[in-house]
Amino acid sequence: MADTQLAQRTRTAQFEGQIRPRFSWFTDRWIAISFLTPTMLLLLFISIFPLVWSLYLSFTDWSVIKDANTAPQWIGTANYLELLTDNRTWQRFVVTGQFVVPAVVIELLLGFGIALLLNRKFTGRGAIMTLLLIPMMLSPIVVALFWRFMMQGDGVLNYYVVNLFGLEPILWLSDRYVAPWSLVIVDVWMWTPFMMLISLAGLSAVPNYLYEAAAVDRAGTWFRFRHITLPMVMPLLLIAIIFRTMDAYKLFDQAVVLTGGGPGRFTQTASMYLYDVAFGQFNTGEGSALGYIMLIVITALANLLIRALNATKST
Amino acid sequence: MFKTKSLSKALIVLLAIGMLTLSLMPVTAQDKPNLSIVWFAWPPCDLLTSLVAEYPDANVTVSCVPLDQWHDQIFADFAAQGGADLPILDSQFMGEAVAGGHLVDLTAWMQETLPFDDYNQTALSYYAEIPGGSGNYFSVPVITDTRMLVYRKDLFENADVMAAYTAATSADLAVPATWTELLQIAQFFKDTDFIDSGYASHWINSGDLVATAWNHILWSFGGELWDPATYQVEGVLNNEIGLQAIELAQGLVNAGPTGVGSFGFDETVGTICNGTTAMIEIWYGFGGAFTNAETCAEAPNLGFAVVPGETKHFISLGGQGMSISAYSQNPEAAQAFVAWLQSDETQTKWVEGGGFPGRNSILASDAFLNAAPYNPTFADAFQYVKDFWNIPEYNELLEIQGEYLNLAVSGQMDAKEALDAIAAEQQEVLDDAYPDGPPAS
Repeated sequence: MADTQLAQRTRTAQFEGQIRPRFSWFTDRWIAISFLTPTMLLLLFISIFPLVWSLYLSFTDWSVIKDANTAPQWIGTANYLELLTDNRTWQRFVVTGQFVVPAVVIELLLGFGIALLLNRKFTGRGAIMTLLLIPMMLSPIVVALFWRFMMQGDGVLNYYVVNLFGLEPILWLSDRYVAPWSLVIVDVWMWTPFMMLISLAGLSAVPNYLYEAAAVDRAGTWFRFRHITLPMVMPLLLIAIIFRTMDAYKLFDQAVVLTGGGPGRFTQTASMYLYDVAFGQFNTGEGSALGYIMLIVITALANLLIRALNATKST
Repeated sequence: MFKTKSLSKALIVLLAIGMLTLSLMPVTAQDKPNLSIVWFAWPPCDLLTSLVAEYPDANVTVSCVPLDQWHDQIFADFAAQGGADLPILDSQFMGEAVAGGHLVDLTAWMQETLPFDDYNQTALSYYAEIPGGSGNYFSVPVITDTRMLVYRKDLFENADVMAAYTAATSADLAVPATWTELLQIAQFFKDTDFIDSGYASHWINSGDLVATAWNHILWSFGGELWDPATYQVEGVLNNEIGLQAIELAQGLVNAGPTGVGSFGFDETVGTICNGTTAMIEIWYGFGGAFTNAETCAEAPNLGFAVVPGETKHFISLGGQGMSISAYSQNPEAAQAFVAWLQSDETQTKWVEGGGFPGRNSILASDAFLNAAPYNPTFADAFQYVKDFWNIPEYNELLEIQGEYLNLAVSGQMDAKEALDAIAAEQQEVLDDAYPDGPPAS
């Protein structure tokens, strides 16, 4: 018996002796490297390189079409200076701001309001929720196309404006003062459900015992909302605001289909202007610079909101 | 053990059969080269898609991209040194494409292989010859096009309407021969109860839509967009004639349906087909939309005429040529396809399906003249065509014009202010691009 055990141990030692030298280099560190390398290479190729290359191009006078056979010409910060001193650039950012602020604020108020109404048990709640979420699930192009159809001069919206309210038809898409609001209306219709969904998630997470304790203390409805509901939901609301602000800031597809940037350029957002510069005029250097300006603006904006979020969490 | 061996053998055999089948399949495909065409989405593109299915010597695919992405997609593909073998470019894109070296020079091949002398010289010159007058051709006319006036024939021939028009204007109601007459008729229809509105066109600031709707009004009043000899815009565009042309367009917008300032192609077609507008102006290429009563309720009541002039007579040029990309992997197959497309037999099918040919013999053929009710007016209209900038800066100039023109014609910007802004900004673009003056041709 003892001989058998000894023989087994010897065989095991021999076996281990054969295996160890062959794979001893294949440590956990190497396994990690071998798994990460393909992903890192892919990221480098499709993300990091274009980022660095476009940063370089933003300091050059180069067009991918007109100067395809010549090297980019280094001009320093001229593209940035030209863009930042050009009224058109600022106008496009103003148009973007005029869209983002009202759209996100209205979506937040409506979404949170609807969430408050739905935050209770009643028959048909599931069906109403499903119906309310439908706009969010549609393609922005499809949404813009059917709103464009409805917002025509003789479209269904004007039918109600004229026949129900007895007003003059509204030039939803061709009036410079109305068209920006048409973009807001469509965005609110599409993305209020997103705000509602996030708000509802936050409301569901508020512990019931807080309301019960408040009721014992005879706290009023407004007091409960102001001191229990709102503080508890605020972090999630801020996250929703960050998402929606960043998304609205990039507005492109809906606006292209709905107004094409018109009338004139009164609904041309910064993203649409970037597309025009980079792919309409093929001013690649200037387009890259504008892309980085947009990146800096949205990063700063996101940072402000994230700070607000952190401040809410710490209180 | 026996089962495992048998299974392995069976798998090897199956694998071998599969590989053999796969290796044989491409052999068939390799017999036919693949060719691709890119154009914008409109009825002639659908017609081309159905026609290329009959081509026996290559697998030809046609991409009909949205109008707004048409220029950008082609040039983004050029930038990547790829894309379609046979891009169909608008005449104004040609300068940009040739300057970048993206197209094959077809001059010698066209003269040897195609019935070169049969091509309509106007079409050939505008669509293919870069620079103008150089004798170097970079495309073969695939569709000739210009604009037509579509009007409600039933209203123009209605005794009550005619009497009311005469009472209101002291003139007889007839198809307008000048823009001033057209405006008067449009205003009459807008102000009376016979129909909702008088005239519509695509005044939207998208692509070249507002430009092509307005440019020929300017030209017909005797104005110009620029001086192509000196590249001068200031003073050439923004003058008294330019103002007259904008004021006439403002009148037309006011006589149009509500919101016509944002009308594109679809809305323009729709407004006459649904019976709300008396006259529209659009490309002949959309003609097919007006002949089918199932899709256009007013189709039986429509008449077609040449777009009017004023002191001069010019009509915006449409249509495009088919080029061969410098990055095509199959340039010879592409040439063979173009030759097939331009053959008498294929051209006859093209016009019977609703296309407009670039060859004079086909334009004069019964097959073309009888193919659609508006075709007999086409040859007359095409003699008045005029094109605008076909230099590499075309898109920048177009965007400037579109922005201010759309606001001016829809009455949201003062006409003089708009013309001055267009002239100043376009001049800046040209001066920046050509600091030493226009290039020697």
